[in-house]
Amino acid sequence: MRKKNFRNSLIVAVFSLLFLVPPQAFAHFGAVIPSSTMLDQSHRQVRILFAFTHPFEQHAMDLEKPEKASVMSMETLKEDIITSRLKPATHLGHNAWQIVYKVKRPSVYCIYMIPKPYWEPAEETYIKHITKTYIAAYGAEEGWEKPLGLEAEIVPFTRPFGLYTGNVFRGRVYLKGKPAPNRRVEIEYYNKGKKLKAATEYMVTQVVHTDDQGIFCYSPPAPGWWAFAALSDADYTIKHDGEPKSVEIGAVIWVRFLPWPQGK
Amino acid sequence: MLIHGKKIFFLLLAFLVLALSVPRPGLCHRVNVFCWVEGSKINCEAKFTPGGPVKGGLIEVYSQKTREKLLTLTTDKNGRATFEIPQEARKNGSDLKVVCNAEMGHKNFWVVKAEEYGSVETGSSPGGEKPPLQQSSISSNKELEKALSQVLAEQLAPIKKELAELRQDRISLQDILGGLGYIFGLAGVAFYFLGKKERGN
Repeated sequence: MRKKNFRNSLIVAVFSLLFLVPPQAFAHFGAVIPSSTMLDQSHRQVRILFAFTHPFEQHAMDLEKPEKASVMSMETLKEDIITSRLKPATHLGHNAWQIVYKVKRPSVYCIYMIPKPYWEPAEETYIKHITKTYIAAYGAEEGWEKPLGLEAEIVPFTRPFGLYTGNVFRGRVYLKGKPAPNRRVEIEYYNKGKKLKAATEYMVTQVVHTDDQGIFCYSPPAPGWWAFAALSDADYTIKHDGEPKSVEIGAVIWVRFLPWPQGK
Repeated sequence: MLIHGKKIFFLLLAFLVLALSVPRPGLCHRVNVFCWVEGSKINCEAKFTPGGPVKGGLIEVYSQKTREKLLTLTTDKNGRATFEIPQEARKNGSDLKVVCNAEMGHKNFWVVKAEEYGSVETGSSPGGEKPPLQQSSISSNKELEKALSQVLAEQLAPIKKELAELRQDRISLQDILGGLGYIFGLAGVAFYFLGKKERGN
């Protein structure tokens, strides 16, 4: 047992070293991934995963129980806070959270989480990725364009569900309720099962910037889940071992793109 | 010839004006129907997407078993309609197909499964038909009791609904399918080993 522990620590240590070298090489992403984005009569519940991950490289970090996890109806703007109903889960060998959520009424729902700040020793900074995704139930499709009023968020300009691969996805980044211009937006494909390998390390994360109105756009080349993280430095610090440390605020949105249907 | 041409022109113009003046929902204007069970009643809600409620929309309720039309209703100004669960559906445990027909052939449906309404107790219908409660008329104890029980029934309606839902949740289709999956899975493993053994022999 002890031997195994030692071996595990060694593996972790080696991996940590790998992470230490190019700190920018792996982009962190808060993750909120539902099992389905469009519900109908025969699919009336979703399994939702809350995690903290490197989507392309398929490495994860532990996600502490979020400060808040919620499902908001974009029709009524009423929310169902689900923090206390989250069940522990594992994502790529790390702590994550999940819930099987029953959707009772037709509406577009925004599922979001506000995580506790994560201490990233490699970058000497705290990371707080406020993460959301949308699902649409029973034919409803209105209200997704409304901001939620989060500390940081990406408000979609493109309907965030029922999308085809190659569609242009547009969104506006908000920080404290105001559009955030000239902000870096990192984009990664959720490389499930780690089937794909990037040709170079540049190919792992795609990067766009927001324009002077906080708007960005991107067109994903392959079907699947894509994560967009708009990054800003917080105007506050959090103490770590008594020393004030900077905080990276991420506004993250997960969007699923489906393949163009095959003809008969 | 000229007059004839003019006539056709005006006719076409008239048609165009007519076609444009009728609130003409395009293809991207869908109708959605959603139904939920509350006590012994089924509530329906019809909406245009995008847009508001379907006012005065035709609602037809069909038995999924017999394909027979059981009811015809119209939605109110909020796009809603309510009906008692038909006895014949209850008897043969049929799913109910609720079809909404809005103007210009916009149509959609929602199926209320028998198990959705079946396990809900019939009898007193909370939130349903109730004689108007007149406060001034509460004079005797009996009446007060009656009024109280009515209020209670109203208050308890959502709880009853939740309870009914909970009861339904106990064994869902998924549970059954999951169970079957386990059985098949285990049987598969068993057969694999049996097959291996036989081949070995």
